[in-house]
Amino acid sequence: MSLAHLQRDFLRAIGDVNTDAGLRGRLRTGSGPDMQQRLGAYRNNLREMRIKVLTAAYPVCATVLGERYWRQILVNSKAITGNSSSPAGCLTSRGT
Amino acid sequence: MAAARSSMVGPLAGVGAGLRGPHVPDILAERPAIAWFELLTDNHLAAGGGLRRQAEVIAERYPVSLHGVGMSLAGTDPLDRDYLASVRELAERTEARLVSEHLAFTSAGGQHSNDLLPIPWTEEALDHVAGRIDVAQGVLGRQILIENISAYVEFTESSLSETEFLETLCRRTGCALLLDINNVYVNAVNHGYDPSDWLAGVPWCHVREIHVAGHTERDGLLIDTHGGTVCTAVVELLLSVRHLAGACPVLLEWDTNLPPWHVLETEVERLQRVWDRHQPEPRQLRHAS
Repeated sequence: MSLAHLQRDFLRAIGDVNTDAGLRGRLRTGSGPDMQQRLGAYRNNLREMRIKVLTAAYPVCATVLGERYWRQILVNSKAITGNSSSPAGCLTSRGT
Repeated sequence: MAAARSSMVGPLAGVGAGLRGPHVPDILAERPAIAWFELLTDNHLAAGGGLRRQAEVIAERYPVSLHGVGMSLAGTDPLDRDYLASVRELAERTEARLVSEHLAFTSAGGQHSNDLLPIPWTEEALDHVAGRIDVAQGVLGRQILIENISAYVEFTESSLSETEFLETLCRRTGCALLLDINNVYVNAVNHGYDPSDWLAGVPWCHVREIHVAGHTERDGLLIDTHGGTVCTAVVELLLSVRHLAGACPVLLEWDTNLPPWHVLETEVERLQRVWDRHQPEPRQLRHAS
């Protein structure tokens, strides 16, 4: 499989917890954390970045609701936690 | 008011700090004796505006380098030549001594990750990345430094070691290395090998800069968060290569849980003292090759 395919599969897998089939057998599984935990590090980074972007884009909402409630709403949203069919895909898409 | 330690001409030297926006007022008011500052390229690219002015004001007072995250040098989407031209313009404007990027991809199929993602160490990837570095250096009109990243996964198809990959890249393209010691440590712990073994493979003749940072443990993994002081293990690793690093400038990165300026300044001063104290005898220094 080409580098381009691998990169698309990787990006898909960290954007959506249910779409990591393309990576199975391609990641080393030795001792320590398993594949899902390792991909989880990237998923968490992505989630935190999305929260940061939305907080910057909607500062009034974030202020009115308060940091804790605002964050909880975002964390509970599938758009933040990863679902390829969600509209949040546009958050990481740059138009060509 | 203290003067900056580094000369405004010549190569970078000593321990520098990554510039973060909230610290700029204190830095301009106090003019701390920091050897140099690293500017995050992507924050200052847009011509005009406050962030560009910030970069220019710092560059008037301190030697600076540029460190970017947006080139996607290992990516398979087309290189963004407008982006590269903007980096060149910023580098010229700030008289940046060094321009660095990561050995990572940040987009695929038009989707952007906002994270530095790993690649397998294969001949295919090597050819691909070398070609893109050639193009990037051509547009920039200068050498770039490539940084080893923190990678939480390893690929089964890798046929080279990471250091072999880096050495070949430098030899083929004329690029240099930015060695991130914290990333070496984080990867070694997460993948279960000895960081000293990894460092033994580093082609030191190509290393032009070193990074250190803090990390965090989460769910059984060390995460490269740049969110605190540099731990003892990473400092010891840094000092273990002191005689090989020669006059390489060292940079402290601190991005999350950003403390007040004086805390970051204190950490830079601590690292500078340790770095100075372990200065090797001339006979111990590596020979440039």
